Amino acid sequence: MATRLIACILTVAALVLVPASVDARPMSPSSKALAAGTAAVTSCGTLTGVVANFTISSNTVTAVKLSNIPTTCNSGSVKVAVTNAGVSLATGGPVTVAAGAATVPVSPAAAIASVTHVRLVITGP
Amino acid sequence: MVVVVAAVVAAVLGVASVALATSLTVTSQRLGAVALPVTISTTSLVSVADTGANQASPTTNTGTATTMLVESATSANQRSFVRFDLSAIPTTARVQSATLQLTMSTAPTATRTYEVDKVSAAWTETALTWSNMPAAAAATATVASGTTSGVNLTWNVTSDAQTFVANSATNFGWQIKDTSESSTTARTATFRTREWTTAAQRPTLTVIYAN
Repeated sequence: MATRLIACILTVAALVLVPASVDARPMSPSSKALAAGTAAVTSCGTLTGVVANFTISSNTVTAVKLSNIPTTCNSGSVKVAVTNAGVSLATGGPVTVAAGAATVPVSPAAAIASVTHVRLVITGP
Repeated sequence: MVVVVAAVVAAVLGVASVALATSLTVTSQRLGAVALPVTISTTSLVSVADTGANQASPTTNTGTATTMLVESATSANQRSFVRFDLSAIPTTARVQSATLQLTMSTAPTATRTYEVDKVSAAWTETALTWSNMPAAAAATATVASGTTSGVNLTWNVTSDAQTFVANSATNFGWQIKDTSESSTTARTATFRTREWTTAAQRPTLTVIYAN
């Protein structure tokens, strides 16, 4: 009886383990529990009042000097793109915002006559 | 036996469940973005008034001359004055750079330092003399003259130009003088004025501004 019981246990265990072994592949395991929810994404402040000035060399923009950034954005990280009608001419950052300002070197140098917008993204703080 | 088998299966599945357990963490982060419209313009202006003032001839006006001098000499210092019309630039413009350029037709025999000072009172090209020349602020910028004739000297006058554009200061132009006047050995530079025939050698102010 004991021998039959042990054999039965081993058989059941094998049946359970074998499929698991077959399924074992180098892939991420799936969680049996799935959490769902929403996370609010807010800005550190109103950015429409930000003022963009430029470092200019040989009629090209080499850096964007941002000021009037809400101080609530201090310690945040800013990236900029100098664009022409939505086409990126030069990019720079991330640079940390301090005292409501940041100077972001951009590359490549963008011809000043081509610049129509400065796009900026601030993440954090 | 059924109980034992169930226990074994449960044990095996239980282990599998523990192995598959993961956690999901949602991190909230602030994100702000904006596209700021901007136009960057360049304008190159020729002086609308320029003249010299000579200490040795304190009542003489040289407003129509084709040259003006900067000289350091005992009792014979000379200064030059220039003014530009910036009214075409919007008062809301943010001046990114402003560069004053003078063509030095004759250089001093030893290098000097020439300064530009923001003038603080009105003057006219045909009336200014050493005796009535207006006061000026401290130096806005300085440049070494060198001793090579026929070169352009430039000064960064961005901050002054911004005040002129925004009308936070009245535009009376600039004075150019030797930072060390009354030299015992006369040191003189000659600059072209707006009356000079070659337009490219007249005093110019190049302003790059954003709005």
